[in-house]
Amino acid sequence: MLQEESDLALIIAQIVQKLKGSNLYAQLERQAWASLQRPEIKLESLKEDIKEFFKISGWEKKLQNAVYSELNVFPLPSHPAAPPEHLKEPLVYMRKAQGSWEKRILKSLNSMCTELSIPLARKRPVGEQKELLNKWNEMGTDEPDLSLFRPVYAPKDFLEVLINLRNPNYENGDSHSFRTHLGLIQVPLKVKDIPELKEFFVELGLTAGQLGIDDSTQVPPELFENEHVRIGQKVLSEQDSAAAQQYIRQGSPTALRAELWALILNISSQPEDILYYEQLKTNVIQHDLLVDSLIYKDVKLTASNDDYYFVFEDYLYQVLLCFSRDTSVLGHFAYNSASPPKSYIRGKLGLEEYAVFYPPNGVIPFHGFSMYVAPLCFLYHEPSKLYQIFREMYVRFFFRLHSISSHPSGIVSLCLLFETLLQTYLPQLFYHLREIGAQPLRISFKWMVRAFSGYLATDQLLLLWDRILGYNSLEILAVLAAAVFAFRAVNLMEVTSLAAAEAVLADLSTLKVMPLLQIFLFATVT
Amino acid sequence: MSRVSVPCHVKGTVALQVGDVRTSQGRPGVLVIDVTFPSVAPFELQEIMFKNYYTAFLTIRVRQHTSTHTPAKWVTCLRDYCLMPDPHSEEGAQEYVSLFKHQMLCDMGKVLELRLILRQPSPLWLSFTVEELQIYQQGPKSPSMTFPKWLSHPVPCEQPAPLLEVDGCYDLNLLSYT
Repeated sequence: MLQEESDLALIIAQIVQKLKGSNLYAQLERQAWASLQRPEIKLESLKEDIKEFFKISGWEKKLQNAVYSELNVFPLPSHPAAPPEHLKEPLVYMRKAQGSWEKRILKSLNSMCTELSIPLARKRPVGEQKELLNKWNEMGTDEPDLSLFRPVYAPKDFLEVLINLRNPNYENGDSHSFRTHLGLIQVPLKVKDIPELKEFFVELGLTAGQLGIDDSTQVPPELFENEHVRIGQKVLSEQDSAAAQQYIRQGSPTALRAELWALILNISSQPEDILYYEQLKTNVIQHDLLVDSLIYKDVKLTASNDDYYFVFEDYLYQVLLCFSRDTSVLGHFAYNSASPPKSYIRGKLGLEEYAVFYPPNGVIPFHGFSMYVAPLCFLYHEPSKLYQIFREMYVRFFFRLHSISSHPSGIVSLCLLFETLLQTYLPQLFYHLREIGAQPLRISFKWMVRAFSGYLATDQLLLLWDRILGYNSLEILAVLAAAVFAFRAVNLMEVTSLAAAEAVLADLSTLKVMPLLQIFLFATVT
Repeated sequence: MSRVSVPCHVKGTVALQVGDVRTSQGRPGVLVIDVTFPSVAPFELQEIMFKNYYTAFLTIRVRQHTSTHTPAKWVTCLRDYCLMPDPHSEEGAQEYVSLFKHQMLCDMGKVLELRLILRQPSPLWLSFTVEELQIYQQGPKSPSMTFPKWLSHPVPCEQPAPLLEVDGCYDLNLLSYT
């Protein structure tokens, strides 16, 4: 068999394997059986007739969307000899660095546990369960004493780890030479340059219409906006994931955004999904986890203080507390360089039958984690739908922003991409900021780790996240970060300290992201 | 078609460098690895598999058994195969690679010896090589193919309900470091 044919066969086998366990498979089976009653299904041509029926009734489209979703999320099957950890992260030194970082987090969590004498998990007494159930829709009114809790880590701690990341096989000389990078990131990952970015983001070019630019009040809607909305409605009526993903590269109309994102992420609220969410809610009621306090603290510190998001405080608890209990999230660790923390039932240390992941979803929240959920509250008001959308966004994109990997959308690559773009296209600015001790990444890191949530105005943030979904990549975050520096370059050239540079870039709430991106990529003279 | 591993002897890598290896400043950019097959008759090569470690380009030369009495000559069967699209960056640096018979420039019917010529033109890396080298010949024709590990150990499908307790208990020890 030719290599390409056997690769394709392997991909097909993997997708079939994954879909076999899904609800869609069961539904398709039921539909196929039910269709036997129909007059147009003949025994002689059973296979073709059923296929035709699926095509007409829209089930083939649902299957197409599911396959497309798998292709987007799961990496292609790697070489047969590659062990599972190679799929998580191919570079050995990055795996080791991620392992050390995780160990630090676990130590921090364990010491918090022993210092405060609070168990990792405890079953709630019946009285407490009743109370929580009554308060479920207004958990924000609760004011538990969280003063002793501290976040397990903040983005700046993570940045220090990334700065110290070194490839042992790389010439890391102390003396500055062509080998040392001028920025903070010292690992030689491959990142795109502007010609490659122009090709990758071709739909953002000057000759294509954009929502975020061509829908402003000065532009007559007949030029672009009306037609774009019409196409969006057609895409939704066809229920085609791939078309939606292509369409949203030019932005989503506000009225269609919630449905478009659900279509691209292949989320449809079935009764099973609502039931699953209710089951998670029951788990929250029955057990109290230490990470719950971390979530409370994070929401109180970040989203509750934000002018745009404080109204959604209760929703955030309802999503994040359930998220911690969701073991289906464990599936994403197959392609995440991180691994879920493990613990054992008390008294059964080392016995694998008594091993559990902690928290059940394997994700320990850090300072700012709730900001991944907050913007979604503008789009979805039904808790189980909001939950599903967030979960899918997390296992597709957000996890890459806080784990150490060589993936092009991983935070290390984004940092390197940002620094490289800045150095190449704004060398004077970069040099100046370095000289005054204000390495640009120290300022832009927090924007990228949070995917700009909490820094941009909400409508602008949603336009940005449209493009993350459309291109299935987080690289746009690094490009935007560089574009922001380019926009404020004149002011930045005049500052003489890191604090002053931070002040120039403290408020991004007035920025319009699409013009910035377009100018930086397509209209800057190099 | 199945494949059978051929036991091979991988000789130590030899650096090709102008001048004295000890005193010169630069690093060699070319390494040669000889692979011999003692106690195996000339065989038909099916597949070469290895794990890359920062090698950018690979050339393979082969010496085959000839029926006539002329001495066997070295022939290039793979020329400058690119393992790292950008030799200065990490892409492809630690990947698992398989090279098949149909990718070779010549017929690989009666292999006696192989010579792998590794090139890494970038001065950024301290060392480069290929690891876990395995050579395969064609096995007896059987319907089974070599499947990757995950096909026999499928990823568990969506769980019906989240598991929180083991035997009704969720009283945990501290988190363990493995």
